[in-house]
Amino acid sequence: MTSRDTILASLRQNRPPAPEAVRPPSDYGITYPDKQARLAEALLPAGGELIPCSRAELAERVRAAWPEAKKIFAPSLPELHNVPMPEAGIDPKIYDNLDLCLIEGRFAVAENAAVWIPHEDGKHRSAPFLATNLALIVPDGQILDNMHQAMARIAASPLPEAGAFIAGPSKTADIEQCLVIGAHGPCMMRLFLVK
Amino acid sequence: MGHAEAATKFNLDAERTGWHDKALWFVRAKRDKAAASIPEWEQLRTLAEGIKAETLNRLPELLEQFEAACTRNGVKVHFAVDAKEHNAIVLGLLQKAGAKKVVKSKSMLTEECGLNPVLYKNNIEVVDTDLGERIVQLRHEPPSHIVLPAIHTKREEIAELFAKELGTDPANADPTYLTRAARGDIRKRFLEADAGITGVNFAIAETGGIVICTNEGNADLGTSLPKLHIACMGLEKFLPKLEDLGVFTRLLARSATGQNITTYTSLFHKPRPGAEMHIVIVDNGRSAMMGREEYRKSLGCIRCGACMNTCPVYRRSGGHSYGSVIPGPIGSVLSPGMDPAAHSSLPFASTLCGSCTDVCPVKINLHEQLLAWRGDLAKAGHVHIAKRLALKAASKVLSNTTLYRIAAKALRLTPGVLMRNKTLNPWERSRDLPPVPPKTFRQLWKERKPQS
Ligand code: SF4
Repeated sequence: MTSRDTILASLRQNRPPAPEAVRPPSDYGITYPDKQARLAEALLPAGGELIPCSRAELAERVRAAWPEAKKIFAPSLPELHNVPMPEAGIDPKIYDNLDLCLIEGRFAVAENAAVWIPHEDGKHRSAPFLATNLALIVPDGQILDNMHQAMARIAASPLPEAGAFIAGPSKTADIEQCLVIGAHGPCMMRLFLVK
Repeated sequence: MGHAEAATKFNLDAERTGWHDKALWFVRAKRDKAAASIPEWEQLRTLAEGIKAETLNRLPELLEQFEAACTRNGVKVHFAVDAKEHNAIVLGLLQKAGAKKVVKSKSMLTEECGLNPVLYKNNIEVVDTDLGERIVQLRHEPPSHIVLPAIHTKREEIAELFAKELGTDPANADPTYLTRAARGDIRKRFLEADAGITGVNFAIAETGGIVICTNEGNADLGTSLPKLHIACMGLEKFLPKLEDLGVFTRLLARSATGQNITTYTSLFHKPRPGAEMHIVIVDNGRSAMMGREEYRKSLGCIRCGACMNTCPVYRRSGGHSYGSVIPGPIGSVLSPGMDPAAHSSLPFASTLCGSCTDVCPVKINLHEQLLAWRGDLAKAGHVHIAKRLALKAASKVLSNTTLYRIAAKALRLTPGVLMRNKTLNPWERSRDLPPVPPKTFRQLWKERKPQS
């Protein structure tokens, strides 16, 4: 018998009785009268900052936020993007030491400030994690209340190859519980909410 | 060495014991605040408990469904009945790919299986990339907590360690300075790695997805740079549907550290183009545990660590005193299931106060399971004769009114010097017992009760 069959047989033999199935109703979970205000509030303890602006002024606002940034990955803002374009077969390591990575998120979640970033065909999976600074862009109409709504939305879309919820810059508190912003990923993160 | 002996050693350093206690209580307090901010918190716990119960009942089918979905997604699934087979599979995959350098993000399962020593022996370099895990790896010791692996170390000790290992200034114990030094060193290793090994927080049966939660971004770097990703998971990690993540992502970080969510909650369905992704599903005693009605609920554990942070025994005895991969209340119910003889002292490392059960996000009845283990271990002859006799005597006295009254009187007649003696009465060692009230409850009751 293969290990697979051994395990399955053991699980079948030890199967506990069926409990009553529980699932939250479709409109379940906390909601916020002012989603944007809650998003800004939740982003603070996560170490990020919310910047509302218009699409037209986005490039300018990003530049102003990081005037020192040289190597910039921003496929959706060609006026800022100045490293090789992400394309199939590209070596993910070339994005090491990016000063700034700018990525378009699908939506943000008000309860916890997480932004959903689906990684499409693996082209830029490494950039948002290698960059020193991270700018996430979300349309201002795309704020959901909570994670139930977020997962329902992902489940209803085509299955992503991979993706990540990102809430703030990378961080750690592994040394005496002292919060240090900037662990292995970005040391600073700003969320641009665009009109 | 049993837990009590190891804990006694830990307690020799009273200052450190107090410091450790406070550090964990701080995390516990943050959890309370986060939980209180969600009006439906208790409902969420009930939902999580229910979804995990459904998962256990449907596990064989969920496993098959998951495997089929993974195959569709181009991900290879492997099965290991025990730790040895798990290690052999991982080693085989690495060797086949010619991988010499591996970066690993947090995985309690690979700790349980003892993967690192096997890889070292085969000349494969493994770097634990979570900062806490890296600290304990460089110190050549196991993690002392499942979420905060280096919670037992002080910043000065880390400064000394990094000075030796990374060439930092030994006098600089600033956490930001030390974290940046580790970042620089580990970034190089990410870029050089031939393979990335990760744990799994949740596996989604319906879609074949796995979810990894970190704050540092180490799992994301470890999976987006090398061409080989091996994810290792216990077979209890399943959730039936993608939507179920709504419930669990709301509970995990709030219970663990008081954050609303971890910085990264990463979902993986397919390998990157040109890369390989493998998932190793491990039994190692879990399916047998499922057959034990009084203990199976422990398989619902999502490894948040809340039960440790709140446990008065864990906080004052340190994770290493448990001598098991997973310490604290959940470790004390899981470990005897794996090896009753080796871990027979653990279910006694509890006051049975029930605080663990109260904070557990999936409502595992931890304190009841600890009590059940005490009985089972005693029946199986794993409990020391002195403890057995003492408990027998206590049960006699407490269940017999006359004996109880005599004992209460005797306690009042015991001279204070004996009661307060720190050698004869271990309870007095780090605290003062309150004075015994001069009258018993029964006497007070008699005096107050209007005679009818
Ligand atoms: S037993 Fe409950 S509280 Fe303890 S680590 Fe597991 S999920 Fe968290």
